[in-house]
Amino acid sequence: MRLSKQTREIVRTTVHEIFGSEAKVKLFGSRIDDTARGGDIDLLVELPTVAVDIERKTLQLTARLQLRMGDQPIDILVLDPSTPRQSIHEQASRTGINL
Amino acid sequence: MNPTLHLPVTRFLQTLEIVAKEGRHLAYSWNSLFSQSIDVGWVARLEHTPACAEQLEAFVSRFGRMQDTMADKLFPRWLLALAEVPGSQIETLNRAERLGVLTSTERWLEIRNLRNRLVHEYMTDPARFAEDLALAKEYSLKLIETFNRLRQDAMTRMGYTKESLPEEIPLPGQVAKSAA
Repeated sequence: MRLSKQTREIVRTTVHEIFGSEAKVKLFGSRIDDTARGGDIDLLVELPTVAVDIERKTLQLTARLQLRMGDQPIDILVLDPSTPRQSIHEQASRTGINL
Repeated sequence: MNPTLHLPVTRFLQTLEIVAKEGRHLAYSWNSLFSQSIDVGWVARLEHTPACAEQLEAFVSRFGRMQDTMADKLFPRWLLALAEVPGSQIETLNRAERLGVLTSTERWLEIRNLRNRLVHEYMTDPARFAEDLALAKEYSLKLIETFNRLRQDAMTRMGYTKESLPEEIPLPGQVAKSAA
């Protein structure tokens, strides 16, 4: 995976700040491929219980990560038990690496 | 000294005029779109209500355009007009926050990220999309308030008279209330 230890720590901390300590976060997409270069940071956040204001929190998470890690493209999917599953969700969940 | 002789100032004033127009157009679309109650059902019916879909497009595009022009052009040109050197976008936003024009850099980045979501993730999930529209309704007011604060700053910090600047934009929603 192409994400420094320090960056992984920032991601975990920030996800927990905004979505609570039960939230799990995975990295998926091109950043899990060690041979690729650059690319968006694709994150999958999985919540064990139904949450409110998911969109607002997702925007907040993206903004805070951009402030803490530098302004770069970050794409975040957030799933709670009520989210209708799409194929991208399953793929992200299956191939993603826990942070 | 005639300030219009200075290129950075002229460009700033021109950009302020452009953003004023964008803001008034956004306020118009805001009023017409949110005169309806926008919920999941409204989003789900869009396929069969092309006039609503068009109204939505106008709103989303005006919201995005105003955000883009302010972040990419207006803030840097404002700093140049103040004889400052704008840096990266986050540096520019932080400076605007420090000077009291932005309430929060983080909030502005949220607005920018919402703009990207509305444009690129068009309606994959109607519930989430309805939530995004509610946020865009709220964040539109932030864009307009920020324009008004920047205009005010041009008067207090740069010494412009009211007459030489575009008019303040009334916040949508409140226009209808005061007229009623």
